[in-house]
Amino acid sequence: MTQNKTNTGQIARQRTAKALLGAALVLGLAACATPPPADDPIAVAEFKATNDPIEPLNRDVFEFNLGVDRYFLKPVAKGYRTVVPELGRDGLRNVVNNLQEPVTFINDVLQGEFDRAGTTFGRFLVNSTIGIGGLFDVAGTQQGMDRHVEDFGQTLATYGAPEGPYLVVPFLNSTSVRHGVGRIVDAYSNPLFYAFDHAGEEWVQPTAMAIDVIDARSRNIESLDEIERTAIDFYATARSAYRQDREKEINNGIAPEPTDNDVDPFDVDY
Amino acid sequence: MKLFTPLKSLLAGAVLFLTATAPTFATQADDAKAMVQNMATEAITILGNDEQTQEDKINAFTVLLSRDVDLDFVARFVLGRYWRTVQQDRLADYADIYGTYLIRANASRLSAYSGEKIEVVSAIEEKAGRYIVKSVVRQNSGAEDINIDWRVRDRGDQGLKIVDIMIEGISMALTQRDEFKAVMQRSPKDIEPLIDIMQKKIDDSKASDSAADAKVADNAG
Repeated sequence: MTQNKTNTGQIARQRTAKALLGAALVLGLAACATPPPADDPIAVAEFKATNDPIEPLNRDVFEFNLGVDRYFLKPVAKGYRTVVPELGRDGLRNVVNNLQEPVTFINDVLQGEFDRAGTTFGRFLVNSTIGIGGLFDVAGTQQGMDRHVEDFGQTLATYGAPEGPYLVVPFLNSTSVRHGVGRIVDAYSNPLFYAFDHAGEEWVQPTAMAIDVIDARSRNIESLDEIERTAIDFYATARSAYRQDREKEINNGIAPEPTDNDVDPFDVDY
Repeated sequence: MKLFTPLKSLLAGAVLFLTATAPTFATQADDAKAMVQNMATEAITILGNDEQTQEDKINAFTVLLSRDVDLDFVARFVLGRYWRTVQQDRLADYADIYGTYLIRANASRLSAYSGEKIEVVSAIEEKAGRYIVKSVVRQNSGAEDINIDWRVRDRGDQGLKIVDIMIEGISMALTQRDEFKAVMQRSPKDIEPLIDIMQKKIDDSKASDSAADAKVADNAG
């Protein structure tokens, strides 16, 4: 029994990794999107910019994920929102965020962002103690140490690794090759979860992951419904929004310095 | 929209009017800021007015957006390079239907808000005649603030116009352009499929609005 318990945390991580690797394998075998004819340079450039060579398969997985959402995740998130009072949900959100701080810290350091690493370290210290195990974001609300998130995918981006094609992974939604690799590394690099596993508390990581997903969904029920209802092509909306959001995260919310070559799309005459 | 009683919005309008007409040596960046604040306040007032039917709200919203948004430009922008490849005699109709679609899509997205306040924070001049107006939506539930940036352009005689809205850094115009690209790639020379999809969205929205209005009338009667 004890043996089984010790293994669950590792198993959960191994499963995530296997799912991602499995998806990557399937991608290699999958039918690809038909590239436009080579004598149409504008269409070829557009195809490259979209960077979604396995779009037909991605669209299928996207539909599958929508089904999972409709029949499982959304109802669970709605129930969660109904049953757990707001104060409790905010507290749990804070706890989950706090458990992720070590990953942010590691990646702050890997990116050479030492000021931000200091903030993350301070936040974790203050919130874990005064904030009672992360239940209250004392550091953010009272000490001006605002939360930010870094992951290994962002670190790879700052190292110059290309984004790689767009991927829709079963149960996980939008990602890219680079971001997906980062997610696997992040799942294995949080020292807190190793500590919990070692202490025989293997339920912590899977529970934190589940709360993270359900809570995030519960905060976007109406807005996502609206976007889906009004979208012309929901798949393309999700892909575009994902890319823009990721870009913003990688640049830490600061727009990159414009260069002379940058053409403002809003100034081009269409 | 509990907090936004008609009286309050009237007051807000009066304050805005006074600030707008005050004889200050405002730069164009300040004008851009004022324009966005004005437009956002008016939009919230319209959407928060519970005594109007959904149809009335949409009509008022249409007037507002036609005044402050460069709809023709946005219509062209989101179609991107396909503006030149599709049937040229259908472009006017396309722009027309796009305007209607945009207004309806945004009206229903905005109607999900309930009593939040929008606060214009600053205006940044990117280059002469180009501004980014930064604003924050403060949610009354204590949830996190939402950052909304407005891309504003000087359109000469027509004054300042909004050409894009960025919600938490995600540009609505760029997102829509990517969506339209996905549709147009399947028929680069034919705009009819895109028009059909937009028309269907408009019809669906009208149907659900009149259902909602009928329900309101029912409850009132």
